[in-house]
Amino acid sequence: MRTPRPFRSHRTFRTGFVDAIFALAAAVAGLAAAFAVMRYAWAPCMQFAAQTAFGSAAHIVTDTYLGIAYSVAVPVMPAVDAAAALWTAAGCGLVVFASAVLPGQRNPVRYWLNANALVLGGSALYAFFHGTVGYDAAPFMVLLTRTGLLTIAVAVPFLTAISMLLPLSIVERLAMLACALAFELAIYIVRVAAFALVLAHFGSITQANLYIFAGPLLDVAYLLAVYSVTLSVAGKRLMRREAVWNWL
Amino acid sequence: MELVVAVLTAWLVFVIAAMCLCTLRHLTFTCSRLLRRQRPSLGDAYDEELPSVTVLMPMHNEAKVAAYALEAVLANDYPAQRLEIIPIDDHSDDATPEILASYAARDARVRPIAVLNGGRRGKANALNAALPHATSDIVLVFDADYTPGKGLIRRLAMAFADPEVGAVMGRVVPRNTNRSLVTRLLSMERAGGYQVDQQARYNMNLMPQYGGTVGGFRRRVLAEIGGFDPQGLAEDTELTVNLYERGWKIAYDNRAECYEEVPETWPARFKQLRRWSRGHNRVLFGHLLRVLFAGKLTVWQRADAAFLLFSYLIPPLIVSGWIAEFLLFAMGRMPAAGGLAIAVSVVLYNAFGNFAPAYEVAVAEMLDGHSARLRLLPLLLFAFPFNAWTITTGFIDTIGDSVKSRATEWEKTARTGAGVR
Repeated sequence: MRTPRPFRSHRTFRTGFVDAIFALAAAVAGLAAAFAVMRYAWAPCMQFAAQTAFGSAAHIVTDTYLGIAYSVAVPVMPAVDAAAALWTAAGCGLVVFASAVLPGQRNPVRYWLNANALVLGGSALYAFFHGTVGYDAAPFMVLLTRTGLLTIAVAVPFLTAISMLLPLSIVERLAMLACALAFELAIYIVRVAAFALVLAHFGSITQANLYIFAGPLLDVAYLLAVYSVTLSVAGKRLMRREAVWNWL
Repeated sequence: MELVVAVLTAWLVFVIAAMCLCTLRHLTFTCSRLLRRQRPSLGDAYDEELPSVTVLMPMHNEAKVAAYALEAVLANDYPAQRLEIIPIDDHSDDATPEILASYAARDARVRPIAVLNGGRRGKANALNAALPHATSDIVLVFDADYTPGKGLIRRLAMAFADPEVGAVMGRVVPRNTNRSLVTRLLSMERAGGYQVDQQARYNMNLMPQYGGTVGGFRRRVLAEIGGFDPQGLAEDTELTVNLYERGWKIAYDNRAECYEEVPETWPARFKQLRRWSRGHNRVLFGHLLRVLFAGKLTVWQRADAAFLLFSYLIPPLIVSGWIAEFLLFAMGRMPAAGGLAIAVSVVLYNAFGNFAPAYEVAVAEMLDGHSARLRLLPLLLFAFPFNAWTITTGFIDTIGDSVKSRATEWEKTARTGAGVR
């Protein structure tokens, strides 16, 4: 047998005991930090979002979820108008048709456009036939906020946990965790305010788009961005350190 | 109404559970690739007694790339007297036949054949037609847009030193990575799929897959199976499950790199992915029960086989989950965490690509030393609706094929010849 030369296909990361302890500690810290942030920072953030969107006229609803008490702004939604719903559905159908026949469109953009148009059109049709669609304003905002809490509770520790697979430094781990949490909070404030404004102007037929597409996309895109930037930075450092590589 | 809500909720829970299982599977693979000792391939062994090998190269209108592919195969270091190259002209109406003829005149190892199967074309047909012309038991297959490295044939052929190995697969590496966003994203998917997924399945003695190109098989095994399904669009998956059902092994050699041209535009990718989905799901319908009850497989191999066969069913499942989610939402009956659960589960499984989740791609790129490319990782998410819908259309095609008993037609992936000039 020949001894194989070192090659990228035959290398793995060398994870020592200390690294593993650090990684585990970071994952536990991630979980603890996520709950601490939700417990102590969530309510003031939501309060701020409410005031940003509606000022002092905001109708505030309080809720308790996962043991966390918070308040959320509730917009006054316009009632479903049957004619407007029908026109919206027709408009969405036109968008889907146009995107199918017009040449030269970038496919991912086209597919996101189509998916949103289909959901919006579907909501409008449902509203046309049933007179209502989705939720009243207060239950929707509560559902949205509860989903946000769960997102942080699940996604941030998961992000920290999968980073355990790689020999990141403790600083990189903590920086990634801090960025993820900070972004979650900052963007959630903007998001809740923006969603409330959209609901106040366009009513319940936009709820499904906000909840099914916009919300998850905002969460996941930036969590992945935090993850990818951290790994990209760490990767450059690791490439220069032979000690982290194991060879077959 | 309550019954509808109950059914939709149950379906949503099922979709979420399926996604989580897939996530767990890929996470296990990633851990195996990173933390376990890697299983070596026989390509690392040195042996003077190399077997005779026939290389098949199916080509349909490949004038842009045929010469480069042939040059690369001819430049390999395999002993000339043990190598036979059969380029297959599959109903070409461009300059491909002339190119093949010129190489045949130049080098005795090149013995092109032309396939005229009454107008029916496609890779499975071309390979079936070429196999009787092969003189070696070991047959390697390269697509026309693939350029193998110098030592590749030796590495792949060495895998057959193990008499239990029925097929071998090498690693596919895109060579036109920097041409467009599509090629960059596909390069990341390929890295995750081969560097982590295939190697881990080989490490864990599960079911590494024969991928149709950059690989090979024993000719007598194919004769035993009865050749490739002439209607098949995924002859690689078909051969994979046929081999495992009969107790053969498939070896994977991560160092056997071959360089390919990935689609550079979204429409070209759409055609390719839809064809894969259509062909793969056809194999699913035909083989699922046989694989699940194959006595020669271990429980874990059967589970891996099921996941492999279901891999092109996952996107339609996700689309159905979205529909269920939308209906529950419209009715105002969304379970408290339903939306989150499907979003997270989809995301855990995805940022999607060729069935390599974000963390798997990240690990692969880190191992490959391409950490700068990791900044594109979030963009995989934006390609997700494209992939989901494309694969779903392929799935619908498969159902149409089954219901109407209609003939399938091979749609060739467009080539540009990029990266080889």
